[in-house]
Amino acid sequence: MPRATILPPSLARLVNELSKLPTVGPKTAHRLAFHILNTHREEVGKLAQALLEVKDKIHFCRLCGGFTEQEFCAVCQDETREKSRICVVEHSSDIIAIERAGNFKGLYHVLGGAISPLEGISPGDLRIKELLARLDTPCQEIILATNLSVEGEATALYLTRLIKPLRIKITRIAHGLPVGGNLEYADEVTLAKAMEGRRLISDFGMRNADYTQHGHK
Amino acid sequence: MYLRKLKGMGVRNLLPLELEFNPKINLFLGDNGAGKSNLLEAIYFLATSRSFRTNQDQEMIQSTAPGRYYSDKVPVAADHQPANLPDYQPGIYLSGEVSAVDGDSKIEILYQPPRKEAKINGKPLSRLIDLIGHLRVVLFSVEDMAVIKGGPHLRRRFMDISISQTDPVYLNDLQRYIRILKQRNRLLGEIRDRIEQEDLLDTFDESLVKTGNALINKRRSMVSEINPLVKGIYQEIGGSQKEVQLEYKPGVEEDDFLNRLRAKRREEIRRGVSLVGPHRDEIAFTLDGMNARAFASEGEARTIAICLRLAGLEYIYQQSGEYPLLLLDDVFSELDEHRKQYLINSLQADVQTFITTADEHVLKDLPLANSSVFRVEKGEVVSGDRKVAK
Repeated sequence: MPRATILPPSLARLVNELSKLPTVGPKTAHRLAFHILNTHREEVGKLAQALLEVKDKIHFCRLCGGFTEQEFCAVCQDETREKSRICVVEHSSDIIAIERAGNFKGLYHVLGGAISPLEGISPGDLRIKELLARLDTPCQEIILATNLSVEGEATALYLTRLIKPLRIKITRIAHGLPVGGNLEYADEVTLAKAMEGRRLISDFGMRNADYTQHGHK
Repeated sequence: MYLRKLKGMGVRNLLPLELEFNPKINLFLGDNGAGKSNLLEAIYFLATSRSFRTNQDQEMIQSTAPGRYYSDKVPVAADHQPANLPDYQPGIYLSGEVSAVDGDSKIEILYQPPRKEAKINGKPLSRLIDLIGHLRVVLFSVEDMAVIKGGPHLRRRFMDISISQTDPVYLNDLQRYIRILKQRNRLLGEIRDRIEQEDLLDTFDESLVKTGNALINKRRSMVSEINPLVKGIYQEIGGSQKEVQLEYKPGVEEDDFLNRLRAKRREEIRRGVSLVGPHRDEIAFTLDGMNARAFASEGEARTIAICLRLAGLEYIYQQSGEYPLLLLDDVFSELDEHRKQYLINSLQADVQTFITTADEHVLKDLPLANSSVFRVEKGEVVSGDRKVAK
């Protein structure tokens, strides 16, 4: 691999900038830089313009905090979405993942992260006040779709404590087996969590049977 | 299970190596500082992705100038490095071939800080902790001799490493618990310094209790399974009639966890540290009803320590259906003749055992028909004279 020092300064600068990107190591940065160097000026101009445009035009939806070029994002503007269900996520990119799944027809709320004292993120740094303000309008269900990490779980617990007194239905996304997955091949941890989070299908009319107490309390 | 082959480079003073092991006993002989224990450390690292001698894994990496390159095992000086070297960074690479009841597998681990990656049969693991359980080991080192009289962390570590290697759910919970604890400790400090509101603590209390109780549960049943094993092995040793008992003493009982957190809250905030939970667990050892930590003689405490490791070996066998590797790091020098003999006699035929020692005399005590001797000099395994009876 050529050493960065023997590169002409402008090329070295490009390599340096590229290697700051996530998942890009020094080798990939070099490959990308040489690719850019060998690309037609016009094409490179489009890339440069796209980079700046995304910074200038994209901002956060005034309601949910998702990406948009307008005041409100496409989901929040969509009159056909169920406004009484709000799915709470950590990052805007999570909305895109759930939208790809396509089965959720409600609205979103982006927190902007998860509670993590180690990283100095406290509830006040998240868009929680904005979420509570949205609950004034009739809301039937809050779906907590924060990550299953320690921090995501803590955030879900925190929100549960906060929202519970408002008498709104709160749900947590399930963790478990991959779709089409064969039980036999699932790793033990996933399987154990799937068992822990099992849901009731029929209780033969026996209310308060002890297995109904499983899952998230 | 046993480790058939080990390849490696970059581990402390060891030159690049490629060794074939005996399925029974492997003896690493050499002077102090020659690199015997580094070989055990390499095996332990392959099994757990951790060192057993340091919390700073970087210390394991060969401390030579970056760009060190080997030509036929001889290190090449930094200013004579060949041009166009592949992007060489100091680091550790290990690969091992493991034979187990459910077939053979190849484990690889690459450690170039901050990168640490593992592969099983060529397939990269998305999480490093999934490595654990593929090559199971029980380590007995000089430090572990102190397991009875030393600090409680030694006894907790024993429970954790024994359970984790046979129960991935436990390992996952343990990792989460440690993370929750770190978050909570930071939070306590912030509440004390009035940076953060106290109500956030309720959330972390709830997480701590849920995950902590899962640990307490499994540790309790582990200790109750291991208790009769230790007792039996202890009486076998030198025909001692004294009775060893282990009792699991959780830092807090499951149903009392939340109450105790409430009761200790003010003190926790003042000190900025979590005071309640399984991170304060203990195992109490008694010898004929007397607290072994206080009343056992040094020799008795060492004997119990041996018994505990051998019971750990048996526990893993019972849980997983096969024996783990037994790594004995320099423990012979710490034992009197009688206990040394017992330990050698108790090396079971179906347990692959690795022994390091500077004492040539150990050789004459070993069933040499079933052992391979490796001599280690200045970081190089100079001979692997195999005397294998297959």
